[in-house]
Amino acid sequence: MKLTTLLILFFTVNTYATGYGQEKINLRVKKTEISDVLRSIEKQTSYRFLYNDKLEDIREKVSINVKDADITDVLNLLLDDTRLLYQLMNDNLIVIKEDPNAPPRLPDVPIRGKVTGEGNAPLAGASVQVKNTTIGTTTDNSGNFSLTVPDANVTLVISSIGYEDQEIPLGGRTEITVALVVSVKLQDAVVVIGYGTASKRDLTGSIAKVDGKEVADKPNTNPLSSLQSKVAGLSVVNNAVPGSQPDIRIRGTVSMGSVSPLYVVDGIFTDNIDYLNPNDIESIEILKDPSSLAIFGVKGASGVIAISTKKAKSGQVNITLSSNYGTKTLVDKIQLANGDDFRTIFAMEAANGLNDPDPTIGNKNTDFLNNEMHLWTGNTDWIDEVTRTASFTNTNLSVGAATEKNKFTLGLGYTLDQGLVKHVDYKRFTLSFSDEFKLASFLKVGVNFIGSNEKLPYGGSGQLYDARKTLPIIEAGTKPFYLRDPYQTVFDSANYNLYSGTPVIQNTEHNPMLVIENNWNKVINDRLRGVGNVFAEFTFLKNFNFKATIYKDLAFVDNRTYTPVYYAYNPAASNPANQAYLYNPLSSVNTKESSQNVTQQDYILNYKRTFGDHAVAATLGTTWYEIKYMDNSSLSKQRDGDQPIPDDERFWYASNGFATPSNPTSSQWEYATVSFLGRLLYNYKSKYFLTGSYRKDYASNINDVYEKKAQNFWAVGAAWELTREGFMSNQKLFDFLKLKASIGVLGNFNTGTIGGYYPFYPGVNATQATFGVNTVSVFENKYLPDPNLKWETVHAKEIGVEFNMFRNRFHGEINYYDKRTKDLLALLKPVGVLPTLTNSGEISNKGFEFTAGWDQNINKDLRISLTGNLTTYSNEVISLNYEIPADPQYANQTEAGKPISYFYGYVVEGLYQSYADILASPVVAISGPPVQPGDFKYKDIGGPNKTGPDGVIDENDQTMIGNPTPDFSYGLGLSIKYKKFDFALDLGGVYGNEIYRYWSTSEQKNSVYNYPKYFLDAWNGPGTSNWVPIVDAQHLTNRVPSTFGIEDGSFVRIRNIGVGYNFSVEKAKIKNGRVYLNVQNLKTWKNNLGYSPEYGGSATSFGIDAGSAESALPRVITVGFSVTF
Amino acid sequence: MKYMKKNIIFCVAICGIAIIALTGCKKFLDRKPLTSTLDDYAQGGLEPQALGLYGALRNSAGDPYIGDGFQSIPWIGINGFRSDDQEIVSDPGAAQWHATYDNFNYTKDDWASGVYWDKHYLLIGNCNTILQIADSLGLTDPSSEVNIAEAKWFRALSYWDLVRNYGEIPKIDFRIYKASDANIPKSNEAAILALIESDLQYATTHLPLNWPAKFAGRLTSGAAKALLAKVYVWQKKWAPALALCEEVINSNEYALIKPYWSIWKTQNELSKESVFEIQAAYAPGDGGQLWSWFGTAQGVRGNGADGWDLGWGWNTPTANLVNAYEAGDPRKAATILFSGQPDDAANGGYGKTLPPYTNALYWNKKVYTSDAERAASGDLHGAYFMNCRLIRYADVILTAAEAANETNQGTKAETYLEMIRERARDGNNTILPKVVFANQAQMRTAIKAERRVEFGCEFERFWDLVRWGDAQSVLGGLGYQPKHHWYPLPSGAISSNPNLVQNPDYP
Repeated sequence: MKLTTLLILFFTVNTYATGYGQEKINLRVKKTEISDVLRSIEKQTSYRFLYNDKLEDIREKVSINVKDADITDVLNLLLDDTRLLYQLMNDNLIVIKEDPNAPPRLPDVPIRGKVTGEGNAPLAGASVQVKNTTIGTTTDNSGNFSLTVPDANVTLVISSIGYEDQEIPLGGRTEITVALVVSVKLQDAVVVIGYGTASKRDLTGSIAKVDGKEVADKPNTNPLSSLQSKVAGLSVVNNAVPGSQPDIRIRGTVSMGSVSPLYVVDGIFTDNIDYLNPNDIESIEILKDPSSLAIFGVKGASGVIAISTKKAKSGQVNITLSSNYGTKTLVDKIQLANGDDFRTIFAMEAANGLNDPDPTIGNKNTDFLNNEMHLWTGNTDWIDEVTRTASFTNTNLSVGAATEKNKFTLGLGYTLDQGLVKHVDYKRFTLSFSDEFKLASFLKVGVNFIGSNEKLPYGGSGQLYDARKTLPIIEAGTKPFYLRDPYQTVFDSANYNLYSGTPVIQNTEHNPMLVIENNWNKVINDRLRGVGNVFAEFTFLKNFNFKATIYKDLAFVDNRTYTPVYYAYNPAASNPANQAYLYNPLSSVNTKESSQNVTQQDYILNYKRTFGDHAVAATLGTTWYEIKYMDNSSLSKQRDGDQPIPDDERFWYASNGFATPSNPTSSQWEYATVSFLGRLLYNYKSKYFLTGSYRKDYASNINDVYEKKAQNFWAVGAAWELTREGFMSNQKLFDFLKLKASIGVLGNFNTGTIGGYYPFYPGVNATQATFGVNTVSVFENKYLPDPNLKWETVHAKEIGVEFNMFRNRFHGEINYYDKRTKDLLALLKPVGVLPTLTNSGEISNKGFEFTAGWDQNINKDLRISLTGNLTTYSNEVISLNYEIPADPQYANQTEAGKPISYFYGYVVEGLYQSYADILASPVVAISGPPVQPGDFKYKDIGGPNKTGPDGVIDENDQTMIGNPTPDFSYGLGLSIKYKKFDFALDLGGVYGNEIYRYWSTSEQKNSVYNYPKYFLDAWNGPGTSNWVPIVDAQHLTNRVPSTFGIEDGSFVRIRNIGVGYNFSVEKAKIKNGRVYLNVQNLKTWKNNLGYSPEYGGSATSFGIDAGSAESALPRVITVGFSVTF
Repeated sequence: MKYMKKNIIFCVAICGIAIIALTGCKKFLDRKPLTSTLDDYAQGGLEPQALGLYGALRNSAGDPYIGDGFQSIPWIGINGFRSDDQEIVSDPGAAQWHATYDNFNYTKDDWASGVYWDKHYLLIGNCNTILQIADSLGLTDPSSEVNIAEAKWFRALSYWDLVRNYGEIPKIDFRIYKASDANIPKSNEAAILALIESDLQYATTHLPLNWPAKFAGRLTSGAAKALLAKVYVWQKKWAPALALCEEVINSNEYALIKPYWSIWKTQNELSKESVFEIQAAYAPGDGGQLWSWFGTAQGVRGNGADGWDLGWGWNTPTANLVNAYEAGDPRKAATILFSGQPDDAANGGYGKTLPPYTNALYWNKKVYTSDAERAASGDLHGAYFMNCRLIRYADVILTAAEAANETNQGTKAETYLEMIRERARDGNNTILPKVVFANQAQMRTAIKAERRVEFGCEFERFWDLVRWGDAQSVLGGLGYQPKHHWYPLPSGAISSNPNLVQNPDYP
């Protein structure tokens, strides 16, 4: 408070004592000189003013608007910010004079200047203030300002959100240029918190913010893939198939159902962000703790990833063009037998089979060796055959402009992402538009829209999985055959280049190239998505703000697959004239159209006010959500003897005139939720912080009694900023230190997929029965409803500390999280009973998160920042009313007392070297033929009733042999800026988890598959091996999951390494330019045989290496540029 | 003032929205699944549910795939491969099946046994739900009683499959409301057999003798009696078995059709020979919802090059079976296709010659279809339209013969046996001479031999051997031991039911 005001108050009290103030004054003036105002008061009332006409301040222009006001109030307003005082005398006489204690008035100095921000772009809306005064202004759209200061030696304070404040002593200058530096103080960042934004400083939880720039120039179609190893608590397992989503979990595996986080894109809830172009993203916030998540209620338990798309910055007209191109190559290929290896190992297997109690299979294999093997002359690496050097490209054009009233953006983008498997091409076109218009000072309206058209790739990625199985003795290339045209339309006969079929020993599999080359260009899989909203925002009663938003999210998929008639050849055909044969003799068209229609409405009332030392921000609202899905599919298949459906896109429809559509089916579901929410953020002196949030969610699909449809979620949090305490002012260690804690109950909207999302109703399947020639519609029960079903809840706690040290150069954050999932929702599939969704059991997830960063401007040319994060995980299923048994092929099992989805199986101690060895060892009672030398010797661990070794190897000897959840994951980032160059390096990894390799261990083979290379070292007589067992598919005891399939999942990876050069060209009007080179996945240090060490999956089955394309992570080398005009 | 007015409008508007939100919420949330539920049917009577059991028995096309437990490869493997006359060898990839079933290396976690158990109990669950609904509604009208009898018959069939294979199993004869209701301990075989008997006894009296064409092949009292007779014979309850068989025989609803090979031709589906069939259909445009794996799983496994890709070739005859026929018995040519030989047009072939396959020398001819009918079905490769002849009239007659012989009615046994041989002979008196009763042992041997060839490749042989006590002597060489009568309980069933104890032979 200023001195003048105090004096005025003093006089005011006096005047009341003398009976002033009976006369009421009405005044409404704009930019009028004080002397004129005084004259107008004299006209209205009996007051008279006495003053010296030479007083400078009496010429000041003021604006006043009062009604029925007392004279003192009017004068207080009128003379505020001047050096004038008033004195009330008798007879309504008022004397106005200069304050003798006021500083002497200096001549005013007009100054001008320009403020620039990041990349030297003009910064609009920056505040320019004379230090320790209220004199100030803001910059205009070009970053310019002009200001009249009392003295050319004052100091200006320039500030803008997201930038470091800067103090500029004028030192006599009247024109200045100021370049602001981006703030590195994380606590100053403004973060999205769900139904609003807040300064990170005011919060009590853990929200990590990632700038859109981090994802924009990376060669990933899904922006979250670029966040691997970057954020503590966020685990990302990549999926190498274009158009697929990575497996994302926040702070562990909290459920047996849905574990992926909720995505909130500019306010709308979604579970799929494939439609987003990474270039359109302004920022990504990862919300992890209860106090941040409770406002999301039943959808908050798995964490929230809030994405804000780019909006125009005021005062700028920017046109940005960016483009990059990358090449993708397969690294870390899995090692399989080549043709000669295969012949050797197969001969071993055939010979081994002849020693079996029943040599039937061995005889057949020997027959093949003797009679047919020589006809299969290939030496093919099928992985090489199906893969390629693929490319990635992403090009974007965006326009943003803003005036005081209107801000708008336009964006266009094109992405091509090729898979490593041939012909697997993903394309995406995006367009975005946003506009925000200020209709009046109290009313703002806006619209946002993002549209995307994705060309989803041909599903050929599965052929990489199949290539692992395909025998290398099959010739890779094609052979010409003179054949009848299967369509008999163009030619009667012609030369055709045919791929080979598979030999009889592999009759359940196929030649992957035969399938790819005949099918890849016969698929249409278009996904259209439009996500948009319109909103209106009102400001009223000074502290209130009300925002109503209506969102729409529409998705359509048109999926049509044509299967042509095509030939293959069989090199071993008994009659060489019959070598070529119709591999696929009937053409068909499969169609499926689906649509999804989401409507969301948010009505949010905000209240924000500061009362002295108390600051309050309150939010109250309701949100309505409705989702409707439906699809239709059909099959039109050529009848034998009919003309094939021609290979022409014109006919790729259900009713194509050639075949009759049959088997039309549809599926459809809808559900709706209504939620009421409230939140209070409070702080006292910005020192003590309290937050509370509450949400009540009603869902249409949880119960058929209205009152029971609702469930409550809440959280409270507290924080203490110690560095604002007096007792901390003398310490130099911490520049900032904040302790925080929060607790709450969050929900998981996890319905499984039974019952059309209404697990409460006893669902049935409509089906048919046949009686002779008659068909009758009938039904079967589908699942059991559980009348007491409710949403599972996560009871979460967090405690943490954030601090800055070394002149804010070092930032650190440590959090401890503890999440207990209760009323676990699980789809029980008890054997012999219909499936039922029920609440059963508890899961615990605990761990620490460490984040640290050092950021320093060494000198004006060099800036270095180093960041690191580490997250520990501890997962345990506390209780489960039943056990999810291990699949006999996949080792994952979930039971109480163990980590979720842990690996279960036998412990291999070595191989039986001889019959004497077998006799001297515990009896093997695992189902299958009697063990023979060369078979696994499993460890005798337990007997019935969990007693110790009992001399028998049976299921009681299975135990925990691994855990797919790591002990910890970590990331390290280094960024150096030197003059116009920048360099960035990101490392990441996990430690302490296991992988279960399924291929060539417990995989059930339906015919002979190719062998892994290491089978060359298989047991082949006493002493030849004590690890790789005898090659013989008949030895079933070797196929049970065991430690033979367990591999160390720890790895370190150079995730990204990149250099860039930044420039600007005045002549070409390029404000900002950048060219860069980036390498993703340069090198991975791993300990397993698979393509990569990363294997995602579902909550109860992950960490399995099935040798599929998802894990074949490419190295991507990208070059790119971006220019802003 | 203007601003004040605006503020009031805003406040009123927000209160209005709040009121609408609070009141409209209930209506907005009032939604149901967009497809039928049991509640939508319960008032419509039992019929759609009871007929659903016929659909379920075959349905391998959609969840919950109950048909996989009855006419698909788990059923074929468990009831077929273990006999000395059927095996799975044609496919090297089926090596594990061969080891498990042909050579009695039973595994607790093999897929087939798990599916078999699961699907049978699911069908039992559906039957129990129907019976509980009927009970709760107090339905006693004749049409509902037929539905109840059908539910009981299907429940009996399911338990019959299970009790033979696993021995002691949980007896679930009540509706399951929550999954844990099913977690009950095992009952002994006698209790299961008693339930089967009482269910079938009800069915014998409440099912009609026949049905109009609209419901061709629907369950009849004859089907109930035939199945009950088999259950009796299993327990050596000879007299009641004989009585039931004779009731079926004397009903004049059934006949042995000639010639023998024609039984498996499409035109003879639901013929006079048929007591109960799992019905399937597959034709262009019908949506493929009614198809079955039964014929396709067993068809000749050729390759696309030679036009003999008729199926997977699972369940092929052994040399043992080939050698079991009496000289000249046409049933040999009607049952077996020989690799490299003509398909024997005189005995159900179509004038084609099989390629000289070595992966299997013999193939099951009872699932052999003509090129023309496969073409008409829209798919040359498979016999998805083929019905599974689950109970044939010949079985009733041979059961009667056996029961008569065991009750010392040798002449009667001779008569019934001769009916079968006479049909097989089909007028050619130079073959299959009549077996004249000499003594019980001689007749018993003759009936055993007759059953073997009459039901070649038809899933009776293994159970006959077990029932006769001949399994050890006949199958011992393949690895059979007495404990192999019973399969270990599937490990999945044990882990989902804490009260279930593994078969003690498989610790």
